[in-house]
Amino acid sequence: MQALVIAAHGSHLNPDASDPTYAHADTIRETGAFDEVREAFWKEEPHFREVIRTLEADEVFVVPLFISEGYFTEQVIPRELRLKDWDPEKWDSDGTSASQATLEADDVGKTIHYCGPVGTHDAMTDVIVQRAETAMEDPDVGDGVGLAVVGHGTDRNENSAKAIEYHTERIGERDRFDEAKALFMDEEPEVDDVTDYFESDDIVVVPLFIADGYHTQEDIPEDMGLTEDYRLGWDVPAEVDGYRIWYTGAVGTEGLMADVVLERAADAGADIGDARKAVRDRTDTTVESSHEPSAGAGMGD
Amino acid sequence: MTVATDDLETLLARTSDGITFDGLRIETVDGEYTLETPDNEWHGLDEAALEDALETCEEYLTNWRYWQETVGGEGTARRSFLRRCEHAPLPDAEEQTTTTEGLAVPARYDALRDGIDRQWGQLSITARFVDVDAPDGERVYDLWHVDDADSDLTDLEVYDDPRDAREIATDDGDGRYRPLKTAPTLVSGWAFTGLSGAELVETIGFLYPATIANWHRELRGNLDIDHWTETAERQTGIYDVIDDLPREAVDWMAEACCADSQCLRRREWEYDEDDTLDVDGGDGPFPCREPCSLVIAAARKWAILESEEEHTYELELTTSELNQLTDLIDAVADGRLDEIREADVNDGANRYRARYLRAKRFDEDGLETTQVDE
Repeated sequence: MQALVIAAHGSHLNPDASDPTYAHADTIRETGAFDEVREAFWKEEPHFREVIRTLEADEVFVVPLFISEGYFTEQVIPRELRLKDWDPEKWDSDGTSASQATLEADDVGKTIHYCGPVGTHDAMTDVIVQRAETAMEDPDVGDGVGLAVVGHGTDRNENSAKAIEYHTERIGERDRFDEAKALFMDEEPEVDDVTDYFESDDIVVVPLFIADGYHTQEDIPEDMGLTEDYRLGWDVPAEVDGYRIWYTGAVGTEGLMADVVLERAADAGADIGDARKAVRDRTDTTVESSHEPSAGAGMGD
Repeated sequence: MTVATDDLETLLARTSDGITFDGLRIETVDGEYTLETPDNEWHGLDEAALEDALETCEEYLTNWRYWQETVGGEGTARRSFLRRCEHAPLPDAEEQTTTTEGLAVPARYDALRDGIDRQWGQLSITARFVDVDAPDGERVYDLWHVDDADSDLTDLEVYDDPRDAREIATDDGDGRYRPLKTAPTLVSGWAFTGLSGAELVETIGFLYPATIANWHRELRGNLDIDHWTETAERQTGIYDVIDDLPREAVDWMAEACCADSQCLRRREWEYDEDDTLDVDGGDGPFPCREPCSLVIAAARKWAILESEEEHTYELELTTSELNQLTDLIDAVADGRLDEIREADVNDGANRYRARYLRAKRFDEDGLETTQVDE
């Protein structure tokens, strides 16, 4: 038997923070690829601490639903899962190249394949592009369009910016969009000045965040000038300085994220059969994206 | 009534190693069968005679099939929990008590015809036969809120997908988010009917995550408890400070957060292994094996607040005003604000009473006080 655990942050304050986790878990449940699929959280239940014992499978694939390698994926999750032989060196990563490490959880005697975060997987590049497609409702979007990938920046750790830059570079190499730029909330180049960095009239802005919350639904839309007050919502596209900005919120809500989770588990040795195809076939409609404002403290409480 | 052919075939396939289960015992030696139940025994049976004998104790046979073939999962929390649902013996239990010894098969079968109700926190679980008129041993489970035990099913929102439980568990009756799933604030008005055993366990996994796993560990005597000091010292980042929380503050915290009125879990963790907290762990049905994430987050706040120095302040209040401060704090702490009637000015926590006190005793910084120990 094999089980999948999707490890996410969750929130004590905002019930919507876990929605993407549940949505992607459900998508994967429906493929039947795993005998058990479980969501686990830092701020909700089941907690990382107690999730493994709820499983009957002896082989468990843990995929962190986080954007970057850093504090949560390298310290908090392995510690709380009781992966006592864990060491970040086991990922042998340059900051965006973690794949997996096989360990024992010492409270349950199960084999745990601890995977790198979804945010740095190569398949995440496709999710960002798909988010641009759904934002502009155009499956061939690219020509005449600039793409901005927005991240938090370096205030927590340097790998956070690395993940943003990594995918932006990969998108740039595809020559699909006229321009592709990485922008940040708290460092240069800043998302506040988004229109300074593009020549294209249409700019699609994809925030590389897992869940919608304070940053994606309040800060970023106000910083870019899409709206005076996030509570009033904003238009998609919104006119700013003569540009059209297409902004729809956290990429983590995109249905195709389930595919990245599956890829992480498959890279770690999970037998997923044709589950990826099933997910790719259905993900255009799995998770509805929304630009309605949703107030809340998001991930940071 | 005849023994179902496929049941017999399955049974025969399993008898080579012998069967001993819930009072049923079948052995085979040199092609001859021995059959035993608590009420009877047969020896030297050939296959046809075994079949005839089994007809007289069909309940034992279908019970065996349900548990060994349908449920399976020997040693799992799921299996033990489902056995608890029908008062079946719990062989996993570390100590055999009258509760874990359970009911014998005929008594259980009688009870399952009417349905056996068991409570799990605010949940009521009914175990019953799929087919009450001609029970073939297969069970299903109905699940609802204890407050709805006497409600008509037609008055409830009926579900059959375990995942629907997530939405039920999200908000309380006032529409406020429930970050603590074991808070005694689960809303009523819904029912899951006809769940399989696995679906029942999955549904409860969404309503009360990990409670079945930890109950099972406690049953088997291997609940792994992480006391306050271990949990606090493990923390890093913004929670690194919580091990600075003074010893007595941990008592106050447990009294504030871990009472039965706030959480259905029974606190099993103490300050540390040799130092128990002054307050009782409560009578909750589920063991709480370490401080939860809500306690950790609150502990951080209290660790920061407790690092402040105490001062002596002077303020002027009538005796009634002093008592009113007590009323106000009690009303918030007991979650009683919604119950205080608009015009009940006899209640110190009444909104007009509070507004009057503010008008009289506040300056622009709040309560008018003078620090006297400078």
